Amino acid sequence: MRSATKTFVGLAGIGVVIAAARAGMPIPTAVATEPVTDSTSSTTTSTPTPTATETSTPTPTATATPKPTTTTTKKSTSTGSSGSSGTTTATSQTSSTVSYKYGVVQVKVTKKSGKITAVSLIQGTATKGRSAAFPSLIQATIDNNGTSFGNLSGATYTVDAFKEAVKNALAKF
Amino acid sequence: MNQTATQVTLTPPNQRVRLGIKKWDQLKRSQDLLETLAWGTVVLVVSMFFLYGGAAKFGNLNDILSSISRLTALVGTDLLLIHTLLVARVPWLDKLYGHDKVTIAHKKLGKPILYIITAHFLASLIQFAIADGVSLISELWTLVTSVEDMWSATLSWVLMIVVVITSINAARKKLSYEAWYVIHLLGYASILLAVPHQFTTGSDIAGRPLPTLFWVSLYLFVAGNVIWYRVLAPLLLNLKLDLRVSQVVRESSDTVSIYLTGRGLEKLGGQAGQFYMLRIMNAKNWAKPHPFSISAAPNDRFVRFTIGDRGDFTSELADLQVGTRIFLEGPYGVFTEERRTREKVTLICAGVGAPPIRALAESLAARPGDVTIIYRVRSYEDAALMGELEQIARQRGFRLHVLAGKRGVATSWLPAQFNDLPDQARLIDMAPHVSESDVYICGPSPWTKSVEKTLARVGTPANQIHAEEFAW
Repeated sequence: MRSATKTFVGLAGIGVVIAAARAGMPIPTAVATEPVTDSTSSTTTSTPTPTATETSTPTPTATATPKPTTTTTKKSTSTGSSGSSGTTTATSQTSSTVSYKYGVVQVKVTKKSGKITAVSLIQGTATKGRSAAFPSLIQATIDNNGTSFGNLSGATYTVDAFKEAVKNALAKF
Repeated sequence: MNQTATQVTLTPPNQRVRLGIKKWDQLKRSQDLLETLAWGTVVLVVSMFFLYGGAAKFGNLNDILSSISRLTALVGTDLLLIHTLLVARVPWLDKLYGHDKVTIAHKKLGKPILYIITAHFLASLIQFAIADGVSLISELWTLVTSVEDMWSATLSWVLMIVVVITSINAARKKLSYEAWYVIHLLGYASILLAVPHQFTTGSDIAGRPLPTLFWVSLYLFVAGNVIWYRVLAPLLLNLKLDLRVSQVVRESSDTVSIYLTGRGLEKLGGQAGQFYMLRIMNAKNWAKPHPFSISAAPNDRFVRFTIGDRGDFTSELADLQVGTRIFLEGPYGVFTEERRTREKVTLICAGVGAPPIRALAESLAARPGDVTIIYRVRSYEDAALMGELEQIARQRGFRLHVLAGKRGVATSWLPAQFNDLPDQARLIDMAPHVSESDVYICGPSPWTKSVEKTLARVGTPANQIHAEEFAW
């Protein structure tokens, strides 16, 4: 390549990569997930609702649940209202069914004091032995109190589907 | 054999040739365009990675490792496919760069690709080992034994290491050509073994239409070029031509000319100055192709190679039986009139470099006085193709300087008796128009370098100097 072309192609290439990186950047709010909802300490303001909708955007089905009622009861200092969850009592939410490349996943997430205490698999299918991933995924969800854990080798799709189901269930609390 | 007495039938020279610097500019433009396309694929794969949110994935160690693994996989595979295309002997690449330059580019890419793919392997392994909380060894074992298509991907990497190591110069010297070649073929296996895991577990291809389209097209394009130009086209051509040895003539104490005939030789194409890969089709030699330049302009009567006796294979050629089947792959190379931009031409050759110069002299479109031929030999009496060069010079009004004698000053490309003056003075004396002519040089590599140095001193622009670098 002649040097002028080299410079031009080099700069253009860097430009394209930067443009792609900017275009591919996810909207920052999407990161705010369950912990935010859990730590809403005091009032039953309307703020939890937008957060909840934010989380549910990747899974369109989540919007079906009536949110306002559940969100009010989630404060760590329980108001004692007879509702679905309190500090000491464990509550559960079931995700919608997430279907993906190798099967379907549906989970039930149980929370106590804002912590995930149990995750059970209502439906969980994965071809070619990928279902072996579920036990460790359940453990990882409990350990991390959410879905911010890494991938599992060779089971990217299963992991993604599982995380999506958990997020979906968490959004319903 | 003394051929000065016998007149050879010369093929009529080219009637016209396009000259001028514009031709050179066009060539450079095409080269730039092609290289831009090649680098463009690298930019494209990296861009696709970022376009799908790759920039957000550098937050923690796991994401960093995953991103390194994915980026190196994408760039490495892209370069690997380009690397493969470079040895497919694709005519459109050969025409733009010449076989030698393409081969050099192929060689240069080998090691970097291995490093990039190794980085991919290590990054994935470490990432998964951390995620699963186990040692690297046990993670590797899990990957290879239980994860889909991972055994073949790992094997692909191992084969790649073997191919690169056996191609390092030091190893090449110890290995026979055949052993090296068979091992090098494993490179194709390596490429194919890596394909399944890219499409089944590769996070950047499966389930994404744009990357899938790109990668499938790139794979098919490279495979198509390799299968057609490297295998099918030469095979079909040779079956059609059915080339046979028709005559073996001794030209000097250490050179022989081999004449081939066949059906419809015009289909072979080619230009003076080009070379073919020649295979003697017998049990012992069919798998060993050797490059030789044609020593007579292409014509419909015969194909001729004039070969210096230098090694075991070349001495075998002298004993070839008439009727032996020969396979030719080619033509290759840009040591041709197509690269000529000036009216004047200087042809310079030494010893075994004479054949392509002899063919060029025969076919160049030129008027009397346009061409100067300089032929460096050990002794006038024992010089291959001397009679033919004299005949061409006489018939077409070219100047011919035969420089016979022992070597003098180490850095000089001229015989000892010429060393009283600098080489450039001698060159201008022999070829007064050398600085404004196209110069074609063919000879041993150090000798060629020395000629090129002299040409730089007399002011011949680099784009007018043509020398085929032998890169095998």
